[in-house]
Amino acid sequence: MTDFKKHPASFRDPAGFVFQSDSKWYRQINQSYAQAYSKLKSSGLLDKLIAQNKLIPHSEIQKNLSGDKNHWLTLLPQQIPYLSFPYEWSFDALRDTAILTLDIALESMNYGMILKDATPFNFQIVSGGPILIDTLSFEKYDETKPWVAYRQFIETFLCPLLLSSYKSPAFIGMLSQYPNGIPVNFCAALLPFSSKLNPLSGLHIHLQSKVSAEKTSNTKQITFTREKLTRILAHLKSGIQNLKLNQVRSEWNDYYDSTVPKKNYVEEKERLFRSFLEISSPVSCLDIGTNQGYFSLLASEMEIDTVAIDSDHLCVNDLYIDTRKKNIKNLLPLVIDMSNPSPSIGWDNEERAAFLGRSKFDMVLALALIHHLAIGKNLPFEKIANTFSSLGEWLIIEFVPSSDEKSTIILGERTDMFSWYTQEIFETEFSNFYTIKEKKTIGESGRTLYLMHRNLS
Amino acid sequence: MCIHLLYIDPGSGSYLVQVIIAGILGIAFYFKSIWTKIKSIFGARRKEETGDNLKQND
Repeated sequence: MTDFKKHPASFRDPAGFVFQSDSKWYRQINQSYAQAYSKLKSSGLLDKLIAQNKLIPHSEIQKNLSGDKNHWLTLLPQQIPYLSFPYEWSFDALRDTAILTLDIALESMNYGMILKDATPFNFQIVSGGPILIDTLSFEKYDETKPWVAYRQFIETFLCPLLLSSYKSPAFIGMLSQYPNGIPVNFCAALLPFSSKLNPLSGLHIHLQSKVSAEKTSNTKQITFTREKLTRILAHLKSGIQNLKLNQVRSEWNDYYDSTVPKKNYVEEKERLFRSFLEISSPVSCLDIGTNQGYFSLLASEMEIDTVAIDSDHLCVNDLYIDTRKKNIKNLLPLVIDMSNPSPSIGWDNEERAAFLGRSKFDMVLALALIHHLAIGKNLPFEKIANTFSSLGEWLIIEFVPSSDEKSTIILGERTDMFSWYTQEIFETEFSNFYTIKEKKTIGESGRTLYLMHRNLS
Repeated sequence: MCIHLLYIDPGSGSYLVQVIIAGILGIAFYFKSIWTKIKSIFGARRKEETGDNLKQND
């Protein structure tokens, strides 16, 4: 055993835990879970779910790598290239995960097993879609009992999805404040009256909020059947499939479609972008303020593993749908506001890592972004350059002058506040962190594209 | 009304609601299946009628 380190979020489940050793992640199965795991395997469910790409594949290791006394078996799962958390996912990503959870629960019942947890935190988005990573989520199914994970499913999946559908997708971000789910009675209070007439929210949210407030003394004698549970799961599935995101279009939604600043701007920018990527040849890249993902898609086409972030939920959702449709495996779109990235959360602030702490890339893309951060968020160049340089070795950045049409929209009446917003000061400040390798004006647009390489500190 | 939610095991509350929802869905399913039957009878008749009409037109 070398550098054994238990994952800080892996302490709740007595069935086992996740740990890191020799920079690989493993999952230990404790003796108490031996029987359930054996059933998962012998029933054929494990192979079936792995073959269907619903559960992360693993290999078994007999050796006790953790040195823990409860050790029964060690799993080496397929390693996940980039971790993201449900509060960073778009509506369709969370909905796909909810449907996958129900599909796994329904499939498990055919094999005499059931999901004992149903939370999006047990999933990761890998190769364009969600996959279950918690192999220890299964237990023997007792047909006389209702679903033990029902409430958890409702609060971690259905509540944020319904609130996104009726109100705003911002409610998905609330899962960082409520990692155990948005409480049913809270959700019921937030949903509009019309949601009481919808069978999905009427039964699973409003009725449940009423029932759970009543005294529930005789629940020990409750008996259930498989048919009843199947009916509930099927009802949830069809209801969730029909949910639609509340579409409130933002002003940046059609950035490249309708308001292209100058003719040939995109074509010229694309040509320069490709040539800069050829010079730097990155393996991974972070596209900050990806908008509709035009350049993220180009990067992923060039076989660069790309994480595309934007604060605009609808843009990210469209990009997620696009990646699924086109079966793009190396592009992960996330809802992250660069001016307020996800913090570290949970016990000891360690269970889910902050965005900046878990993010290291070869290349950072900041295209048509600098005016949003510098002028829109009042961030000095020095701060922006410092953060970008901590995220990756290379930077492709577009400078948008204050005279640009888009800059004047953000500037508004505050022109006197941003006398420092000049290309000269931009270059000077960024040169403290980077060496400018390439500098090219983008056609007639007045904008400039830079390729920069981080200075050795 | 004073509700002490925190003192109730969330599992038991969710068990009861599942029983109620399963009951409601069961009833809905029952009526739906009757409705589908009625529709299929009418649907079948209509098809027969249109079939007859077509024959007459021939």
